Amino acid sequence: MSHIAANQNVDAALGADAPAHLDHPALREENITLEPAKVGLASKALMALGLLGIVVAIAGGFVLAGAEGTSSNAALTHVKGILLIGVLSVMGFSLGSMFFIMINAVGGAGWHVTMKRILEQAALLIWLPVAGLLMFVAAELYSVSNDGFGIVSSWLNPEILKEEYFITKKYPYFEPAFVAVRLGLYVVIWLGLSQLIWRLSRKQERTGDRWLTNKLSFHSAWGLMVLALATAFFAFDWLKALTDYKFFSTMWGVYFFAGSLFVTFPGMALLLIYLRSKGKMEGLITVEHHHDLSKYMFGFIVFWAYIAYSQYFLIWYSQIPEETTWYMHRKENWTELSTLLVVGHFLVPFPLMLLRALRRSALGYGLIAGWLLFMHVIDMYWIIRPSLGITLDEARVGGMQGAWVDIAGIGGVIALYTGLLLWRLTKAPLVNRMEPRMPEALKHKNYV
Amino acid sequence: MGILGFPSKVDHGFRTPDGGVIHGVMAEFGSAAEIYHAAEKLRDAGFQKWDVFSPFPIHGIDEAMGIKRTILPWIVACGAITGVSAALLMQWWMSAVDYPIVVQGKPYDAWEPFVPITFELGVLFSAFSALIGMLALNGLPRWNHPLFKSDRFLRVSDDAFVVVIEAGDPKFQGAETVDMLQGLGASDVELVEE
Repeated sequence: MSHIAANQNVDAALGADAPAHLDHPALREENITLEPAKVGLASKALMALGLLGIVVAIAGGFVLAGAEGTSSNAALTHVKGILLIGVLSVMGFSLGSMFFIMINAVGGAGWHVTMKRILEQAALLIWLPVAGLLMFVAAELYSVSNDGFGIVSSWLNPEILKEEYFITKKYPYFEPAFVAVRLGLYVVIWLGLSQLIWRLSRKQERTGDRWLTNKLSFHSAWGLMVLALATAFFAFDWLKALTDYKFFSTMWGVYFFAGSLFVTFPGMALLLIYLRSKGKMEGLITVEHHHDLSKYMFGFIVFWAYIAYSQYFLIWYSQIPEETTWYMHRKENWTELSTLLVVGHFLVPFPLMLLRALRRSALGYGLIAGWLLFMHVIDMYWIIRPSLGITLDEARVGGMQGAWVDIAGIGGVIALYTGLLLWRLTKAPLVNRMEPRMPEALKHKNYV
Repeated sequence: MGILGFPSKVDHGFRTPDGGVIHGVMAEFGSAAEIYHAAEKLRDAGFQKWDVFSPFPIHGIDEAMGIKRTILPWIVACGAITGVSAALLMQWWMSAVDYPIVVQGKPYDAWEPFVPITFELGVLFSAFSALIGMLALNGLPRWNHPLFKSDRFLRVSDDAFVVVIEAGDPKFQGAETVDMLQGLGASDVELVEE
């Protein structure tokens, strides 16, 4: 644990310039250090479970391929799509964390700095979903080179490229070289920003230089715009065009972006509950911090409903065939899932989160947070799964429904991500003690 | 307290030495810290109808005074539910029952076009009930208040820290309450006439 030893020396190096809050009892060494022994078993088990789930999903996909009534083409599409659902679900957590750090830096917020390191860790883990995405893209390119065998991305399908009217109109945007350059840009922007945030924070921890906080504000100002654009266009390319390249919606980028933040706050709430159950961050994360996370949860329940409804409403009213088919398929063939999304993603959590007592009780917001995470996965599932061709009823292995491939694949990716995140948390202190806004976060209180 | 803003004289049976009806007793304290600790003691003594006035917000004074959380959110919730129900009922009745018109071949009772108006009416009724509920809970509007007769009270917006205990408080005991406030460290205690 050399990095923590290095932090201890900071006090001596800074001398009289050391921040006064360093003596605060909540910032004592054992309170902000997550020993590997505390989470080692959980993180290893989650990672093993995750890898197992992914292997089961892939193997199950090929079993499905041999099953009666399912072509191997459809089975391959199914597995790739399922793994992508998992990847996009966890990507939301990393992207949302990155956005939340930067919006707080721009706004000069101080209350969140006790949880900022954990957000940074989540943002830094963006490489995992990015690696998953690149593997998906590689698998797609392999499929294209095999005459469109098992292709998920509708616009990459060689058959479509030959005959459809819309693809000729949209072709400049789908020019393979342009798509590749865009994907490269998204990856560079995401990895670059997450590294920038991480390094500034770690450097501040080492040197105690409080002006690095200002530097983060400066970089966040342009970073927010770049991150928002990259994320929006990523959603156009790999979520909207993936499921139906004919579909138009300028709201789509916001839809994915809102979903990313929707998953960040419940994810953080659960992670902080877990860390506190391990006896860490006493006095650093209080009911007041949780209350504010709950307010954000509430806000993004409403925001998601607002943009999801707006998108649906305009398409419903205008009745343009190439737009409505996307919704009609989900409404008519996946009715239960669509209903679950409306009820579970908005109608049920909205009135519950209005209750102040619930926003401040660990059991209350913990249960809701778990439910919201599940709902976010359902949201991604609802976007991608109906476009994969085979329905849940059609996909059967020896009489059993193929839904277990879905559960293993999506659950596997999420477990792997969570396990890695827990393991990463042991690698650095849970809090950047040199953060100049620390006193503000330590005495944070909600007056309403 | 008055009805529709017209003040009425409320007599709780306490009289000034001159025979005037007492509205309450007002005590001035020297600093925010002093009035904070006095508030804690008054809260523990069980007073109900009293208030602290200061030139600036004092952090934590709500807890020190033992003020319960307002019921205003529940009033607003009732307003919101009323607004949402009224909007849905109105639109459904208009477009599906009273005067059905085919628009773009959509069903008469499609819920989709109802949502914006439902939202707007929900917000409108919430805002109305928030404003009206807040005024009602504060006993507003009213033309005047007995406290405005006191020059000392007018200094509350400048440099005075003042506690007022109303004569209507069940624990109010006239001279004994005056003594108690002096015991809490009040620099000046005066009786306010109704």
